[in-house]
Amino acid sequence: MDPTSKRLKLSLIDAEAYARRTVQQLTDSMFVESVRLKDVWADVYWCYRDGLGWYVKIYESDAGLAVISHHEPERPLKTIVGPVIVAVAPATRAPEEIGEDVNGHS
Amino acid sequence: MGIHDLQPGETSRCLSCREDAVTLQNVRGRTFDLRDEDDLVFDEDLKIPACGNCGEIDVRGAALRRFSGVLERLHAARKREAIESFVAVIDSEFADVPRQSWEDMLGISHGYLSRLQKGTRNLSTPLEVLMRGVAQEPTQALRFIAHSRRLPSALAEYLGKRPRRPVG
Repeated sequence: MDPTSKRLKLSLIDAEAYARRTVQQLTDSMFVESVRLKDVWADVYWCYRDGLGWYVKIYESDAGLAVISHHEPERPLKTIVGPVIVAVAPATRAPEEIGEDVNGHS
Repeated sequence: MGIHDLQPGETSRCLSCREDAVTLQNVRGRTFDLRDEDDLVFDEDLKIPACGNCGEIDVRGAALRRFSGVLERLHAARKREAIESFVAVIDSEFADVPRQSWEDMLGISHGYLSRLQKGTRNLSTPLEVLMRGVAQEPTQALRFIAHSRRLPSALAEYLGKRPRRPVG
């Protein structure tokens, strides 16, 4: 929550809701790779939302879906279908951008 | 045992580092960052799941609301302290310099300092950095600022009267 809160200048509560909403809107085309975390596989997704690139890492835990990363991309990376996601979305919007503002309004 | 059903004395697996090191811990005294304020010292008793290996905490629901509320209060207090210490220094050490000169130097509109004091405006990060610099080392901060912009005459006069610190 802290990186999202810092980046968007949101409260922790709003940052959590924002991250939750991002995860709800991920699509297959935003998938990048699976990474091993000790005893589980986590999935990495990259997407644009509100003009910003986001790095999202999730996995299915015993307690439900665990969102363990939701922050600015540290380096450009390709999604499985090709688009390269960077920290700030290019002026021409990528087709995969999640089209909502910070408050979750479409 | 789920991380959010933890009872005192029980251990759970960390969702981030996957070590069996999550226990209920009282975070009083622990420091947290919130947005542009670092090292806010948590000053209430609150037991939340925290990992003894990677330090990750996991809060949600009512615990998150309480945790967030405390940090927001500490964040606001830190900002208020920056404003108050700045005003205390300019009032005590620069009694002859009008407020407007300080507002001109800071690049803010006349009356903005009062609005900051009343809490009707939020203190931005760059402004806070400048105000803290002036409050800590007024003369040095003014000399530093004078390198990049013309100081209001009252402040330039003040600097002109101060002997320069010898180099070396």
